[in-house]
Amino acid sequence: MNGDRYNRFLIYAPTAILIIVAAIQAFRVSNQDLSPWKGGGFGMFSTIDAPTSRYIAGYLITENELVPIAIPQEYQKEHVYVCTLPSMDSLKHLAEMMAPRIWITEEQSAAGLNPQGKKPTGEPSVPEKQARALRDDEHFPHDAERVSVLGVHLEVWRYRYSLNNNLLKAEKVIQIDVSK
Amino acid sequence: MNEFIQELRNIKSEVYTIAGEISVSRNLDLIVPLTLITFLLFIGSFWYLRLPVGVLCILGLVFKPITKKVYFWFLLTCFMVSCFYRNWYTLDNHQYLMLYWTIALTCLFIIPKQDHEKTLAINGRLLIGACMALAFIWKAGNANYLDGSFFHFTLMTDSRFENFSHLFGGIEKSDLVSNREMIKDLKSGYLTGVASERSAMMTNQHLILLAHFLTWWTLIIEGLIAVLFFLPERKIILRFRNWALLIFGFTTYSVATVTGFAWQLMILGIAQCRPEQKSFRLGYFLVFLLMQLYMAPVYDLVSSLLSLIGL
Repeated sequence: MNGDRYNRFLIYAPTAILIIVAAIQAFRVSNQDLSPWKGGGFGMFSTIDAPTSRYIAGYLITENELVPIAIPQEYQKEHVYVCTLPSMDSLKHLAEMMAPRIWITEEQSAAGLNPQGKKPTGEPSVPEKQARALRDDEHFPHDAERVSVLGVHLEVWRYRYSLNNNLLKAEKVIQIDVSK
Repeated sequence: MNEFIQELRNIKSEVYTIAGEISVSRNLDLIVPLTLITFLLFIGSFWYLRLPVGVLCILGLVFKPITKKVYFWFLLTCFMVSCFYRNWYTLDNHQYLMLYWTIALTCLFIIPKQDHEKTLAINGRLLIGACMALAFIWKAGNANYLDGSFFHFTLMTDSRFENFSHLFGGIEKSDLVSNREMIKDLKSGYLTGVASERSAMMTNQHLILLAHFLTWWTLIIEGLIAVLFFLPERKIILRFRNWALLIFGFTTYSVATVTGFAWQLMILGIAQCRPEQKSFRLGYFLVFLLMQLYMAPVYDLVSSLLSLIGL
């Protein structure tokens, strides 16, 4: 009798685990804004709201302005995590990793860009100076200026699309400011 | 010439022999090598998973007796669980399905041997039914899917669908490139100082119709498979269920080339075949092979051919 019950447990365990994981995923999608594409709920190809449809806009907080920055490559893992499951905790964690870095601005020619403000390929113009993080193994470039950073401001955005009006629209999900 | 024709006849005979052997194979004998090949190729990109899983899969393919031991599948399960737990937020659905399948095979070799084929069939059926049911529920419960927005957006912007959209939706490739550029500008606009929060996409009526067709086709076939695989096993249900899954594999993965998922579904399809369902067993194996053909740039080739003949 016990043997039968044990065998039945073994037979149905994989499907039971699938259902439990899917239930947890559904809960996290509704309550924690988890992307339906991830988490084992089989929600891929049901919505545009994939992690790749979400993105982080980063800014350095200085005395006079917000300086836009790209999220450094070394935080790719955290970037993906925040986009998949955006939360104030995970966004704060990313911001706290970025804030203490040394941030510099370089002339466009040093960054491989046309000084007139357009990339050689004719892509949209960029600001004359763009801020980036100094890599740990990098010497301070002679023509760069250090940015006096008071903190980091991060915003998580996602885009949505509707066939009714054929509009791709971005909406902010969460944002955070972290002081250096 | 006669020798050539004789050689062709020999090859034809060989093909029939192989097909015959596949169709009468025990499910487990067919499933194990196919599972190991699928894991070898599609388990994921983490080196600390690929390394041990690769070694185990190669050992299993070369020394078949170890694949009948519970510790073999238990080891695979442990490696997968430890990697997937750390990286759950990056995993695709087929990786979850592979994990459940590994757990199923681990449990299988604990159960008495006489129940193996029955256990395989139950797990194959339930795993297919469950994942299709969930996929159906997510789609049916999303207004943005039902109104065609999801597929329309995907056809307009996903580079994997570019040739399909161009061939069957009649949209120019330059328009598709523009759409992808619009998304890039939306995401990086804050860096360039030209942040935009709204953009109108390039499309046409044919693409919209195609999107509606794909929306409902996918919903209906996934729902049908879910229902058929959960219904009690009458003869007619068995026949329809296998046809539905084969048609799903044959059609869906010609467009959405997620080979790992397709292969795993075909393996589950074989697992739930009854011994007398020789044709379906062979059918699943052939669709498994067909997925390799789909990895070729089929739509690229068709598109180039059509351009060549002036269409």
